Amino acid sequence: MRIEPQNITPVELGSLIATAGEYKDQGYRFVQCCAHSTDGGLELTYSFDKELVLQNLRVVIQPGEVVESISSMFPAAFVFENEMHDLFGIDITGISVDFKGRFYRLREETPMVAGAPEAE
Amino acid sequence: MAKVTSIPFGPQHPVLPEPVHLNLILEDEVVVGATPQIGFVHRGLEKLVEKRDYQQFMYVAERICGICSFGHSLGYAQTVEGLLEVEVPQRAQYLRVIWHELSRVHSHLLWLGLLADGFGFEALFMHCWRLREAVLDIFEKTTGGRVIFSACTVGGVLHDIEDSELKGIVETLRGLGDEYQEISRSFLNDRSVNNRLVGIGVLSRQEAYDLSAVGPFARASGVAYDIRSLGYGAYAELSAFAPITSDQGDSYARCKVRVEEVHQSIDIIAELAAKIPAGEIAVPVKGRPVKGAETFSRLEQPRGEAFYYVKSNGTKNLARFRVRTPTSINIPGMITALVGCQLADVPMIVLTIDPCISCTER
Repeated sequence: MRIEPQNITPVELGSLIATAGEYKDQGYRFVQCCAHSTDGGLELTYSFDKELVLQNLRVVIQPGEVVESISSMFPAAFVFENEMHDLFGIDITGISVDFKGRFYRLREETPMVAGAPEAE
Repeated sequence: MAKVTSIPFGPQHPVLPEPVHLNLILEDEVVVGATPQIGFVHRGLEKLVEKRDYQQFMYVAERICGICSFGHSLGYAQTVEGLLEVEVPQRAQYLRVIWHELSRVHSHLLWLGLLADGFGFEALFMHCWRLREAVLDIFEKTTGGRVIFSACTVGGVLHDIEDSELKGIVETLRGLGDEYQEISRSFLNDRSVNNRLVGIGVLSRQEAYDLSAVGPFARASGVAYDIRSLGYGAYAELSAFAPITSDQGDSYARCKVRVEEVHQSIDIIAELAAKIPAGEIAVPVKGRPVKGAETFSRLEQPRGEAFYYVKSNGTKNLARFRVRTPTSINIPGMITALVGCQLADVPMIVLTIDPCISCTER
């Protein structure tokens, strides 16, 4: 039983900012962004809402690829972009409030990357 | 010329039950900037989903927070049910919403008490928490727990509530409503309370929208955004539902919205208790989700919209669980609301987003 439509739009890393900008122009609200570590790389999901309809952008990146921040368009994104950096080691440039890896106090680096040991 | 200083606020502060730090930039006594810092007690619960099967993880999800515990178990359950395409029995959906709305009543009463404590009105604080005890008693009677209920499961709920007991719950809440009316008057009309809240920490409607504020924090700025309007679960069975909003955008408006939401929740519980259908309370859920399957879902926690995401790797353990809690997205709005306020008002404004660091540091 799904309570709302599952809209996922794949986008290339190079088009992320332009696509997010289109959402901004259309009056979408930022909901969240998160990462998921897969065998070959990382899946990033950016979620936006307009009138209770959720749209998700899916970006697949390879380790080491640099992602541009969307926090200049959606200021609330800085919290989650710092989180993605600290937990997954994703290099994100231009975060409006960049904690440079000190957002969370972690015992091990990038604990959410696939294969990282479970925290004791 | 104003003297510019930087003052640390928190992570330990009398108004903060949990650690959050703000680096405040002041010109004389006026806040001109603030940088938030969280992460003091990050627990890594999302990572634990790799080590627990999707049924076991229900108990972990519920322990993300002690105040929104039922909401997190419900959010996780409905997301996994979406993944497995499980149809939840109607009675279970009603019971879920009843417990969820009871959680909202107790959360708002807790917050009102903390607010009263924050501005030094101790008698009001005690009255709020005294009323909240009655709601916790209902939880204990119906689930056996006062903080962690373990009432929700993937496929339904684990406890039923007899119709006669539901009637008793509604009577208890209606009784509370009369006493609560008295307390509400103090929050909304008392001059000393108004002095601390009116015109303090204003966030405009545009700012609230642009900064993605959620919950009573956003609704107090006129953003009529409430995930319950989606009609998930038994919310679809309500005769009418409209988010409670205010246009003032200040600390008083945030208080007023929450005060009124308690009445709204009691009305929702009463309506659902009168309409609840007979039948099963859970369906058996077996099997594994398909590899690569994923689901998003949202619900309205007492503090606002919570976002849940799960992804399967084809085993009983999920590959990813993600929860974006209301407090984490309200932090940027809180920072904006602080700009221009007096240093003495910072604790009030921080309190008015109802920060839950336990949720944020899941």
